Amino acid sequence: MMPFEFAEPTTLTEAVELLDADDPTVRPLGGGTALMLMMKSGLFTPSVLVSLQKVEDNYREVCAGTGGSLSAGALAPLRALELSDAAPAVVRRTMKTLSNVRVRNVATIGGCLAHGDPHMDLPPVMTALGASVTTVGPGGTRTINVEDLYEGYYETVLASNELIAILEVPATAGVRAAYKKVTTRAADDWPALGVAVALTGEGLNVAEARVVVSAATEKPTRMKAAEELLMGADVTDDLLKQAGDAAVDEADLITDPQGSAAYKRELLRVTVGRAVRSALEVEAG
Amino acid sequence: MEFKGEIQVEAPREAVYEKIRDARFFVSCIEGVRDLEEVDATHYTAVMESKVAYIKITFGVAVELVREDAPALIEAKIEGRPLKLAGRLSATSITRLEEVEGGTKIGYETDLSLTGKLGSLGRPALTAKAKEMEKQFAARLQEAFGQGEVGA
Repeated sequence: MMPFEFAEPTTLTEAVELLDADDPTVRPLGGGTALMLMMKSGLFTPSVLVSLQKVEDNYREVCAGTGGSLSAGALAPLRALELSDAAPAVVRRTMKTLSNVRVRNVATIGGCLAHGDPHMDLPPVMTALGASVTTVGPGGTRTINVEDLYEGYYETVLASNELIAILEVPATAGVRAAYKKVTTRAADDWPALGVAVALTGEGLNVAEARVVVSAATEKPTRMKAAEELLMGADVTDDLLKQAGDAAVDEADLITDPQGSAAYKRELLRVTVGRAVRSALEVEAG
Repeated sequence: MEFKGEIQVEAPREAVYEKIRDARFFVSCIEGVRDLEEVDATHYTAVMESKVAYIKITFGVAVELVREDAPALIEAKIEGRPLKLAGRLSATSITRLEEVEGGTKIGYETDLSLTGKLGSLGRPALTAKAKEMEKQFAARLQEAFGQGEVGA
C-alpha cells in the first residue's frame, strides 16, 4: 500500500479546510468500513485521509426533532439509528439487516450516505422518507434532499471538500414504509436489489407513494411511473403487478457480481409488489 | 459486458478503413488512452486511465489485431492489467465498415470481461464509465469524419 498522510481535525470546519476541492485523493474518513476495503483492494489510493473521529460530539447524536422528525449527526454510527426510539420503524428494521452488528457499530450515517455505492441500504430508505442532509463546505452550509444527492455510481453532488453534517428525516406520522432487499449470496451480503416504499393513505387505499429502487441501478432512483399507478388507487394484486412492470420499464438496471440485469429485472418485477404489501402491513410511523 | 453501436459518416469506406487502421488515430478517439507504442504491425501497448468519481484505475493494455479484412472489418483482442489492483481486463472488439449511400456505416461491437478484484469491486463503476466512453468514442469518430448519424 502506498503511504499517505493521516489528519485528525477536532472540528468539522477544520476538516473541511483540510480537504481539497481539486484533489479527490484527499478523502474524509468516517467509520472507514467502505473506504478501507477499497484501499486494501487497491481500488483507491489516498494521498491524505482526513479522519472525522475527533470532531465535535454533537455530530454523533441521534435525537428527536420537532413534530416527530429525526435529526442525526453524520458521525453517529448506524447502530445508533437502529437503537434510537426517535428513528422511524422502517429505519430501525432496515438497520438490523444491514451487514452485521460489527459493521453497524463503526460505519457512520454520513459515510453511508456520501459513499455513493448504490448497494447501500440507507439512501433508498431515506429517499423514500423524503429525508435531507445539511452539508458543510468552504462556502457555508446547504441542504440537499437525499433524493438529489446522487449522480451515478460512487458519484454524488457533494464537492470534494464538502461534508455531510446532519441528516434530517421529516415526521413519519401517517406514513407506512418498508424496505425489501434481495441478497443472492449470503444474508449480510450486498443486495442485488433494494426497494424502499413509503405510503400514505387508509387501509388498502394509497394517497401518496414513493417507490425507490437501489442496488440494481447506478443510484437510488424513484420509480415515478409505479408511484403514479399506486397513488389514489386501492391496492390489488393486479395493480401491484402493473406497478412492478412499470418499474421494470422505467429502471435502467445494471449487471454486477450480485446478479445480471436480466435477473434483477425479474426480481424487481415481483419485489415492488412485495414491498408495497409489506408497507401496508405495518403500522404507520 | 457487451457494447455495440453504429455510426454513419460521410466518407468513402476505404478512407474510413485507413483512418481506423491507424492506431494513433483510433486511440485518440478513446478517452484516457496514452503512451501508445507500436510493437510490430499488429501489436501495440498503451496505458489506459479510467476515472470514476474519486477512483482512478490505470491499466497497462496490450492490443493485438487478430483479423483484418480491408476495407470491411478489423478485429482486435485487448488484454489489460490494472497497475495497483488484482485482476484482468479482456476484450474483443470488432469494427465493421459498410458502404451506404453518401458514406460509410461503422458498426462496432466490444465484448469486455473483468476478473479478480477488478471484476468484483471495479466492474459496476467501470461499466458506468464504459457507457460514457462509448458515447465519446462515437462522438469523436463522428467529429473526425464529419456529421452523420449515431445509433446504439
